[in-house]
Amino acid sequence: MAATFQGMISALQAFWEEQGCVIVQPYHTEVGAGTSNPATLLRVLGPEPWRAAYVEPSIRPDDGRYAESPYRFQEHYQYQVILKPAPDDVQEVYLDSLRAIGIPIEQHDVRFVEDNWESPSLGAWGLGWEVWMDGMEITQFTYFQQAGGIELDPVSAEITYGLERLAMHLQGVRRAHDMEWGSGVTWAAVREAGERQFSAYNYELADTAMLARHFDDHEAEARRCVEAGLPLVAYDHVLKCSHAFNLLDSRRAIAVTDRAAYILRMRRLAQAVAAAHLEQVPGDG
Amino acid sequence: MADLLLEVGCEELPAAHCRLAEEALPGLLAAELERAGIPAETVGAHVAPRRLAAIARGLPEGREAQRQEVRGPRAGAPEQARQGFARKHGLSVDALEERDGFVWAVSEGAAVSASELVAAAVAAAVGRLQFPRTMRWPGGRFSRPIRWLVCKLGTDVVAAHVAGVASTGGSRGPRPGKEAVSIGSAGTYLDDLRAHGVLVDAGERRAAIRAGLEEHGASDPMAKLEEVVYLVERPHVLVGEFPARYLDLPERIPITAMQSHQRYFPIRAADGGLEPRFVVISNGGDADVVRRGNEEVLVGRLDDARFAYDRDRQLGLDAMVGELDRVSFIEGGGSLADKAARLGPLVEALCDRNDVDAAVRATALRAAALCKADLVSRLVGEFSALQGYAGSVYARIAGEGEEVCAAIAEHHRPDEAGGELPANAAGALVAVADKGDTVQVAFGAGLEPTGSRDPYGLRRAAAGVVAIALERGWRVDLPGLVGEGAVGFVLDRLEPLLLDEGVTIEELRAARGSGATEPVEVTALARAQHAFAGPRRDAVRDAYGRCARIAGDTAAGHVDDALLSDPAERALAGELASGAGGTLESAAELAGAIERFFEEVLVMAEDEAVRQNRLRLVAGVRDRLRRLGDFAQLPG
Repeated sequence: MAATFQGMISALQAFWEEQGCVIVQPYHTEVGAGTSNPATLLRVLGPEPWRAAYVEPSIRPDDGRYAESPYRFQEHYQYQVILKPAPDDVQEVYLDSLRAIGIPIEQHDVRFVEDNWESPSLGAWGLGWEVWMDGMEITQFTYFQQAGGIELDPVSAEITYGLERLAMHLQGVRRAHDMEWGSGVTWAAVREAGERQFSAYNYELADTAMLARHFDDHEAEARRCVEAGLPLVAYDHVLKCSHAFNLLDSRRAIAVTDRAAYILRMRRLAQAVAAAHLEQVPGDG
Repeated sequence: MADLLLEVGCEELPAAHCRLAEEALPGLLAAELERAGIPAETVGAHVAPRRLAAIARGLPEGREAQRQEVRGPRAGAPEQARQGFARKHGLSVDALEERDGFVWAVSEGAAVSASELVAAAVAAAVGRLQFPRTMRWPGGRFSRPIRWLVCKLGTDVVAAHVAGVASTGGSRGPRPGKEAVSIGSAGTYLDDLRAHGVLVDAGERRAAIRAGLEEHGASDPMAKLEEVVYLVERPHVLVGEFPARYLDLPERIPITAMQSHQRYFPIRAADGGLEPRFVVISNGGDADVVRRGNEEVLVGRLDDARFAYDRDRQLGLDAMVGELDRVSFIEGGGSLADKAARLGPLVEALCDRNDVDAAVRATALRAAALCKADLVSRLVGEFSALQGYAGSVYARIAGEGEEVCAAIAEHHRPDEAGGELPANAAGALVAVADKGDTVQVAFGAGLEPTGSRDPYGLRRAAAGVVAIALERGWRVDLPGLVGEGAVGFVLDRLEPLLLDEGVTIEELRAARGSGATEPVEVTALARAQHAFAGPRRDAVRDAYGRCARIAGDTAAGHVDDALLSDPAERALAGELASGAGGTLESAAELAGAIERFFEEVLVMAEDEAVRQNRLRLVAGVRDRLRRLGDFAQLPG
């Protein structure tokens, strides 16, 4: 019996715990990617060593397909690993993690293909690869160079697995719907209704006037929190701005001329939060 | 004599960086060895995704001792000065030599063995490699992290360091294995790795892949081979299949699904149609497992393409046009709807200037209004390489005429410098308008290219404008098309084209100095200058130079016949009035009259009115010749 979705996650948790990672939990507000979880975005700042791993629900309203697509969803799951500083053998360790979840990689064509990553709204970028297995992209692998507009020193390695694809591969199924989540329950039983409802909300129902107000409110609150010396709280409000923006975008409610301005507002917030956070972390940051 | 081997082991380098390093490394290493006094007879490079290797053959045993003489203080200088000088050169005062009234420090130097010099040369050569973008990691900065280093002179390991990594005699085999590969020497290097399946030499990999493609009748319409050569270390040629039902998609869709992201190679049947098979170049693994995996990935991609194509057809071209106001063009350039609206007047202006016939004009205007619609299509969202083509497919479904469809399909051309140009006139009109508008908007927003960074592809766009104008002999109002500030940038694109034909840079500069801004005019003037090179052109150049010098900043103006007394000045004024000097041939004849004028006439006459009249005449001649080019740019 091939590994279940939850069994694979357990194997990754055990593997990275063995590597000295803190197993933190998914964040409690919507993020587009595990990178946005403060356990990555803020912890990569400053000189303190940090190793963490966690599952992150990636909430991307515009990727919703009403559960009709075999592998594209508005809520998919990433497994995120952040290693600071990036160890010298990080690629080999990553390949071992694939072995650990039951992939006999010697039989496969595993390749690191150039792919660079940038998030203009977080003022973050990095260089690295997509990892291909037999032509399928299974992981994003990045040496983080900058976050919140701040050059990172030391550089962290970020590993982001696409969990559904890996599980589908391990189970030999073509649609996520048929993938066994665990205990005989399929992905469809767990997720399908949610995909339908959230797709409808994201594309058809979300109240755009309310979302625009929320963006403004959370932006103002983020500023107040930065000034009060509470960057971690401020960052939550930045994430809420980001999710409001993503929803407005999926509702096609952002005019071309406003788009760049929204992104700039988020980047400025992220930079202010990063700078405030760095002031508070120990070390010579 | 010994051979040097250097292998810099890296995490997977981008394909483009591999090519840059392969090109640059031999020259850099040769230069550093030369500088160190141990020049190699030959230096070659072998590059694979995880290794940059160089082999320098025929190094001398070392650098010979070099006698060195340094002049010190005067012979009569105080003892203190002599001591200080001796100390500085590590000699005792007794060892100083005296001659020609000075004290000298003479050392015979010591010979240095090659192995002592190689480490620094190797580190310097690697350090001087340039990449368009580098990254930092805990340890250094390079294209990607450096993880091992092999440096051998003959069969001996040379202790070298690059980015904090110390050299050993051990390389690494292919992924995902972890085994070390012991390297004997430069001479055995390629074979040592070949024994582990790694073909370090790109030429060998290219040949192996080409042979495989040929054997299976695979093609490479989107030119992916050169990239694939640097994505694998141990190429295996596999043939996969996909369900034939996807072949009812318009042909470029499955081709793009195969080639754009996956870098698969489509296979054509004898009748020219696509077969439901493809070639994939793998980097090892179990052939059946890898083939099956790639087949599944391709089916997924084809499903995405089919889904996008069906949804786009349901939406229809008109609805796509209606969505263009939602999508931004370049920052400061409004929406794509704004861009599409600007194309119409630009196409009109081009048509007016070139007497384009009414049918072509109508086709081009229709295509201009529709050509951006596919940028909001799902298909282009999945496969950006289908821009233009997707639009033409949807325009055909919407009932547009074949010429309009063709113009939409071709308006992106040329895709690259020297690429294929639009074959139909309407497509060419839209292409010039579209590219010109992009340059105008980007320059207006302060986004002109800097150094190697050209994120909006402005050099390519400008080169496209120039190439199409020249091919079609079209007159293009550049200041109107791209804005005053970008005219020079566009005309710069003439340089590679004309230099390639043999026109010299000075001839091109002269042509541009004429003040012409029409690409066809500048080109015609530059070619004329080139064709006329020789003593007669030199004579015109000298005549022009004399006129320009004498006239100074006098502006040309009315020449009063009544003030002309000398036959030579009358003759020159007559020539000028009759329009002489309009061509280089005629200018060469005019040069005779100019020469005679300067021999026989004193421009700086005492009479102010006569003098000014003569200066205006000379300025007039200068300006006439200047229309052929700024002769001052030509070598004297």
